[in-house]
Amino acid sequence: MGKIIAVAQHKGGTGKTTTCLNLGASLCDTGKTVLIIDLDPQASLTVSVGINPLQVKKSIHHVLVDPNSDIKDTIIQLPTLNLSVVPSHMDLAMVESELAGKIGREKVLFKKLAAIKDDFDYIFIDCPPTLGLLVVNALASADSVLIPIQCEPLTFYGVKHLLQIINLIREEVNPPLKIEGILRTMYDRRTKLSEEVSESIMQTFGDLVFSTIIYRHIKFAEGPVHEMPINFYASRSPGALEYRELAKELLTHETKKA
Amino acid sequence: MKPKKPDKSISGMDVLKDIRGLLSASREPGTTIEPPSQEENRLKNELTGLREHVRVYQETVQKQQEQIRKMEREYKDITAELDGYKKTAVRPLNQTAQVAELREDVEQLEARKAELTSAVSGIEELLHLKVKELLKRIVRLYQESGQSDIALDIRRTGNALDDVDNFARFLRELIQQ
Repeated sequence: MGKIIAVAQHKGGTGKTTTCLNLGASLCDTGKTVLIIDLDPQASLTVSVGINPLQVKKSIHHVLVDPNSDIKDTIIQLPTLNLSVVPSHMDLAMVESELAGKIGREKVLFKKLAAIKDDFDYIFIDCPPTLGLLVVNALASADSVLIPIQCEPLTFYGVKHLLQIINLIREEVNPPLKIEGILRTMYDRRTKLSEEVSESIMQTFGDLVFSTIIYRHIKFAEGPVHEMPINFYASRSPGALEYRELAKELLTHETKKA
Repeated sequence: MKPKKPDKSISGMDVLKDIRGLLSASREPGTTIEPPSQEENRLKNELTGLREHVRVYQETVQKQQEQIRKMEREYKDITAELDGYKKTAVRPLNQTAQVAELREDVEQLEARKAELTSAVSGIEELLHLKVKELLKRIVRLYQESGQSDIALDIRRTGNALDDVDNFARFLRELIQQ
């Protein structure tokens, strides 16, 4: 049975898309089947894999808005990578108003994903940096949440808001929802601040924190140029190694839980 | 007296206290969050330090491997360049063989020249005979038509041509000698 992991954080630019793409690709390298859903209207993930969101015929927007749509029709198998993607579209920004008044609107994605959950080992949902209906749908569908925390103090406020939403979702919609882990991202080795924030994360979240740290690398920023995950265009780079390490850690967690 | 600055640190941020509260509220029974002990923190820090060492070591190894690959490429390029020089270098001359070769060429050329000269003189001879025969015919025609004077003039002209021709041969042979 596949596992759905929502990658969420209320603050933007914390590495959600980068984590979805590169963790997904690293898991593919271990032989797992992975689907990534771009739930962000900015469509950064869609662009990062070389898909033009304006030319996509069917996107996650159709899945959420059209009751008769089949999510299978929106899945794009990337030709060179063993990775599948459900692309986003700018129209997704309108989904809140489009679903307004609809009964069960917070579980639309959950129902659609049920049809394909067994087709993949892992399904990652790249959430927008908001706490609206899209994130609620993602959390209602997910088995767990992975929270990337940029090693800067401001990120804590985003985490606080996200945890409030997670608690609400657990109470109302999805009680089994777990926190998969806290991922420290954009750690800048040159600054004392990163070290202090990392230390505070460890103290606050304890064993929820992944041992793997994603450091700040320029290679990550080059991703959209190459239109593929880092382990394809810079497989030996430190960033690629870090995401491979994270994939191993995730799989080890699974084994321990099993 | 300046007011004393409040002791502000990241770990003392209020938001972190809120997060701890939210986490403990959301945890399953029996899995309350406890801040890691000092020993755990020390071990985790040590682990992070060791990971950092490994990372630095990996980077160094990677750089050295790249350097080795670069040197290998340079070595290959230089070897290829040297091979190119070897191939294009001037070979030492075997003078005796070359002289013999040149002599043979000269002999062949001379033989060909003699052959052509002989052919030319044959053609000249033939041409001369044809001219003589033609003149004889013309003289006979004039004699038969009763114009002996013209026939005599033509015969004389023919003889003069013979003389010129003989003189030319004499000169040619003289030049050749």
